[in-house]
Amino acid sequence: MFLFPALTLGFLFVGVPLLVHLINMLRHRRQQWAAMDFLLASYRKQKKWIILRQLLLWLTRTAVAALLIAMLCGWVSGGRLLGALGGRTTHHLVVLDDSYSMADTSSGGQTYQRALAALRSLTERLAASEGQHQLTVLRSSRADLVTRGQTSAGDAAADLSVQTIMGDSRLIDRVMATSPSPMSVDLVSGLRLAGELIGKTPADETVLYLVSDFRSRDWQTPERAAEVLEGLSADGVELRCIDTATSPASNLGVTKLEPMADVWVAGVPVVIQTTIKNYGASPVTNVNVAARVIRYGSAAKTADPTRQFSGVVEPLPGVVIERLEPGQEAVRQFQVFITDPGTHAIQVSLPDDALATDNSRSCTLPLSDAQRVLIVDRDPEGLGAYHVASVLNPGSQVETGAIPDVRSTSFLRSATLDDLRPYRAIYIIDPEEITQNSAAALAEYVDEGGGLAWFLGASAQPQKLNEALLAEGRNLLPGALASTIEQSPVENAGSDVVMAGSHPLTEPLEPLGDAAFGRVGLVETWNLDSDDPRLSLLNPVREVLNRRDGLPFVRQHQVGRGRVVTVLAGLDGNWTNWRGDPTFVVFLLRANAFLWSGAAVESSRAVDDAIRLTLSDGRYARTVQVLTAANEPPRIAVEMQAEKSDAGWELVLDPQEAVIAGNADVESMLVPGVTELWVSRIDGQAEVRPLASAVQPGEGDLRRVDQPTLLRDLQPTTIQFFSTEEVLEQSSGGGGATTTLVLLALLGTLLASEQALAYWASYHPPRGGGAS
Amino acid sequence: MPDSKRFLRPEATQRIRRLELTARRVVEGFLSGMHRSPYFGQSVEFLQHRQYATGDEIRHIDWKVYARQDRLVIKQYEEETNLRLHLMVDRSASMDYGVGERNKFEYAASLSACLAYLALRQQDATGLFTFDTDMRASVPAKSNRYQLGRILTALDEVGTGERTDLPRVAKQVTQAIPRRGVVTIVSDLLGVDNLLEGLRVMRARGHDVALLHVLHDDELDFDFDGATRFEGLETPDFLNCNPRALREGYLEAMNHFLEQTRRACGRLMIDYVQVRTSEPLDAVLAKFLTARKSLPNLRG
Repeated sequence: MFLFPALTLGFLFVGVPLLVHLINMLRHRRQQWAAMDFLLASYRKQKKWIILRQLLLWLTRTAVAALLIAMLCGWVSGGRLLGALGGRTTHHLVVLDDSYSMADTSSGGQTYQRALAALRSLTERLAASEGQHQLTVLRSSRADLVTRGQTSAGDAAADLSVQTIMGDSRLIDRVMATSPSPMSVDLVSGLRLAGELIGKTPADETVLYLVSDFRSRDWQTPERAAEVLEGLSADGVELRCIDTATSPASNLGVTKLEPMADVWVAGVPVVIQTTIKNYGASPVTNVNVAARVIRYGSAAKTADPTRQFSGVVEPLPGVVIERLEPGQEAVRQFQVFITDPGTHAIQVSLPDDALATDNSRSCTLPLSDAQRVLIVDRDPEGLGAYHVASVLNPGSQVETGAIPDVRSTSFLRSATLDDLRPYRAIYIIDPEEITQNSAAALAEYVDEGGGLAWFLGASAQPQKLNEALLAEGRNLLPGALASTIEQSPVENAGSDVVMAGSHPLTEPLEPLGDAAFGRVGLVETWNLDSDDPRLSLLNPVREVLNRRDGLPFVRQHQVGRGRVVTVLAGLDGNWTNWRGDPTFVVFLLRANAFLWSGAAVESSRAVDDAIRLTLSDGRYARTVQVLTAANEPPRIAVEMQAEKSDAGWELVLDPQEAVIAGNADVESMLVPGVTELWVSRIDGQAEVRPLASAVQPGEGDLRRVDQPTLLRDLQPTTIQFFSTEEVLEQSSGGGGATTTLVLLALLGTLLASEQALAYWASYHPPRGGGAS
Repeated sequence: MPDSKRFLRPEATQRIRRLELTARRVVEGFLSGMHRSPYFGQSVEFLQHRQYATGDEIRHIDWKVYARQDRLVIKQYEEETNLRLHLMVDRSASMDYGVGERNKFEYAASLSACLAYLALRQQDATGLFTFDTDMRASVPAKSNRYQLGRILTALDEVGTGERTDLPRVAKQVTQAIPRRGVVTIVSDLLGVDNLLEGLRVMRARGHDVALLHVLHDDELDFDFDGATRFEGLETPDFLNCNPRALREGYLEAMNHFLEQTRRACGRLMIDYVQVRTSEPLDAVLAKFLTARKSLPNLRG
C-alpha cells in the first residue's frame, strides 16, 4: 500500500483542519453589536448555505491534507486501483543465481548482496507501477536440486511463487535473508523450471529476469541455455539479464584434497595430496597452505556442539607454494601420521581472497588396524608367497599395515565369499587352475571392492583359468590367457621391462624412467587375447608394464568396485628375476595400496550429495545425532531416527528431498566442512562417523563472460542486459509516474476547490462596498 | 434628573467641559465660514420692534426708527420669538457602540451639544430629552446662559439595554413640550420598536421634526474579518460567525432599513440626515442645516 509505511503516522495530521476549526471556534473575537437584528436576519436567511460551505471547505481541506500525506508515504495502491480497473497482470519471474561464485567480494561487497539489492529495487519499482504484478523468485541451487530429483515441483523450489506485489517490503524479506549456496550450478535447471512455472501461471505479460554474475565458465557452452531461452522467447516472455558482478579480483582455490591411494592403517604414515589452482589473471607467490588434522577415534568420545569439531584439532606443518602462474595448478603433498584407528579428518586452507568458499577443503582419512592380506601360492615351497609376504611385512618395526596370511591352493578351492571378505587384498601366485566356486567367490569379492593380484607363471593352465575366470562375465583377467611368448635377450637393447605409461603402480619410478628396470630380466610371459568374447569389461584395461617388445607384462583393470592387477609372469624365478629387484618392492607396495583402495570409501563428498549411513541393527541403535558442518561454533545437533531396511538401519540426508519437502534446514546440509554423525552402539558407547563435504571446484574461476559474444551466441533470442547500478537507478527515479500524476492532478483540483470554497465561504478579503 | 453628585465627579465635569469646548469650536468654526447666521426656522415675517440690547445683531437694527426717533430698536421676526429647539437624544444601550469620539453616544452628545450651542447662541430656547426605554432626562427649553450647562449635564451616560418603544417615548416628550417647536431626534434607531408610529406621534402635534440618524461606520460597512462572536447590546442574542459570510445579507438588510426610514421620514415630512460617526461634526451641521433650508415651508 505505502512505500514508506513509517510515514503513515502523518495521517494523524489529517485531523488538523478539524482541530483548527474547533480551536477557531473557541477563539472567536467578541464583538458587542447594536444592529443584531440585521445580523440575525442575514444569518437566518443564509444559515443552510453557510453550514454547507463550511462543511465542504472542511472536507476539502481534510482531503488535501490526507492526499499530501498519502503522496509523502508513497501511496501505490492507486496504481493497482488503476490497474484493477482494467489493467494487466504481469508475472515477473526471477531466476537468482546463488552458486558459490556469487560470494565473490571483488567489489568490496558480495556479488550476491548486489543481486539482492537489485531484486529489492525491482520489487519496489513494481510496487509503484500500474497494473497487477506477481513475483516469483527461484534460486538456481534449489532449482538444481529439485531438477535432479527428476521432479517438476517448481513451486517447491521457488522461494516466492506467484506472489502479488503489494508494496509491502516484507514480501521478499525471506529471500533477502538468503546467502550464496556452496553449490556449483549453472542456470539451465533454473531456466527450465522457470519455463514450467511460467506455463502454469496465466498472465497478460511475463518477464523473466536472470540475475547472475555471468561467469565465462557457466556460459562456455551456451547451447543448452540458448535452447531454453529461445523457447521462452517464442512463448512471448520478455527476457532480461541483470549482471551483478564486477571486475574479478584474484582468487586461489583448493580444488582437491585426498589421501593418496595407499594402505590407510593406523600407525602407517599417509600421504595427503592437495591441489591449489590460481584462477586469477596474475601470478601469485609465496602462498601459504595451512593444514590441520582433526583426530577422532579415541580422542572424540562424545559430540561437542560448542566447538567446531568434536575431535582434537592439530596443526600440521604448512606448505608454501613459491609461485603459481595464472590458470595453473600446484600439487602439494604432506604426510599425516596417526596411530589411532578410526576416521579422522584433514583440512587445508588458503589465505582470504575474493572468494572465500573455495579457500578451504576437507577430507576424511579412515584408518584401520593392520589388515590381513591373503597370499595363495601353488608352490608348496612358497617361494613366491615368501617374496610377496616379505615385501608386505618386512618386519623390523617397519609397518606397511598389511598382515600377510599365506595359504595353500586348497584354501582357495573351498573358499567362500565370507572366507575372503576378511582380507583386504588377495595375491594368487602361479595358480594352475581355479574352480568355478572359487572364481565366483573371487568375482564377488572383487566386485565388492576387494583387490586381487595374479602372478601367472608356467603352471597356469590357460584354458581352465579362462573358463573359470572369464565365465559368466566375471572378467577376473584382463584378457584371455593365450600362449606364452618368449622374449629373446638383445644386447644393448635396454631393459626387458618398460613402463607402459603413467600409472599409480609405477608412479614413484617414473622419474627414473625405464632405466629403473635395467636389471630386471624377462624372458617369457603369457600373452593375452583381448578379443575373447567372454570378456565384457566396462572399463578399459590399463597397461602398467610392458615387455621390451611391447607385449604386456603387467596389466590392471577394474571389476565392480575392486581392482585386479595381473602380472603375466610367475615369481618362481624362471621367467623373470624381478622378485629380487628393488623395483619389485616399490611395485608391490604400490600395488598393495592400490588394491586396498578399491574398497576405500570416498574421502569427501560434494556438498549437495546425499548422506547415507547404514548401520547394523544388531550392533547399533537407530538414533543418530547429526552435527552438520559449520564455519564456526556453536553447531546445532539434530537427533534423527534411522529407518529400517534390509541392511539394518539406514539414515538418508538428501538435500534434494529436503528442498522438495520444503525443509527449512536445507542450507545447513549444504555447508562444506566436516559433518559428524554420532551413532550409539548397543552397549551405549558413542561412535562418530565424520563425513567431509566439499564444494565442486571450478566456480572459483571468476572470469566474466563477454556480453556481446554471449548475446551473439544466444541469437536469435532477444535479451536485454542491465547492470545492478542501472536497476537501482531505475528504482530511485520513477515508478508509478502515472499514479503520481493522477495524485498531483487531484491535489491541484482539491486546492483550487479549497480556494473557491474559501472564497465562497467569504474567507477572502472583501472587495469594498458598504451600506449607504 | 441630573444627579447633583455627578456634577461633582471630576470625570463628569471634564466631560461637560469637553462637550462645551467641542460645541464651541465646531460651531464657531462653522459660523466663521458663513455670511449669515443659520436659521433653524423658515419664517421671516416682521413681528415687532424691541429695544436694542448689547450683543444683538447690528444688522437687525431698524435704522429708520433710529433716524426718526433716535433710538435703537431691533426688528423681531416671527420665528425668532417662536423657535424652540428640543433635542431628543437616544441614550439606549445600542448607542454605546464605538470607541472614543466615534462612540455613537459620544458623537450624538457632541452633535447635540453643537446644535444646542448654535441655537442658544442665537437666543433660541433649547431643551433636551434623553430616552432609552423611557424618557430619562428632561431639560425644558430655555435660552438663558445656564441652559447649555444644563443640557450638557443631562447628556451623561448611556442607559439600559432594552428595546425602545418610540411611540411611548414620543408621547412623553410631546406631553412635556407645551408649544410647537423643532424636535431634533438624534438616534441610531436600532432596537427601536414602532419607529414610524413614533415619528407620526411627533408630527401629529405639529412639531417640526428632524431626524439625525447616527450610525457607526462598522454598522454601515460591516467590515469585520475573522471568526467573531457578536453579542447584542440591547438583547441577549449572540452569533458566532464568519462576518464576511454574512456581510452581503447584513448590508442588504441595513440598506433596506435605511431606505424604509428615509421614505417614512419623507412621507411624514421629517428632515432626515444619515450621519456616520466618522464624519466631522461641522460637516454634519452643514448637511443638517442645508437639508433644513431646502425643504419646503410646510409645517403643521
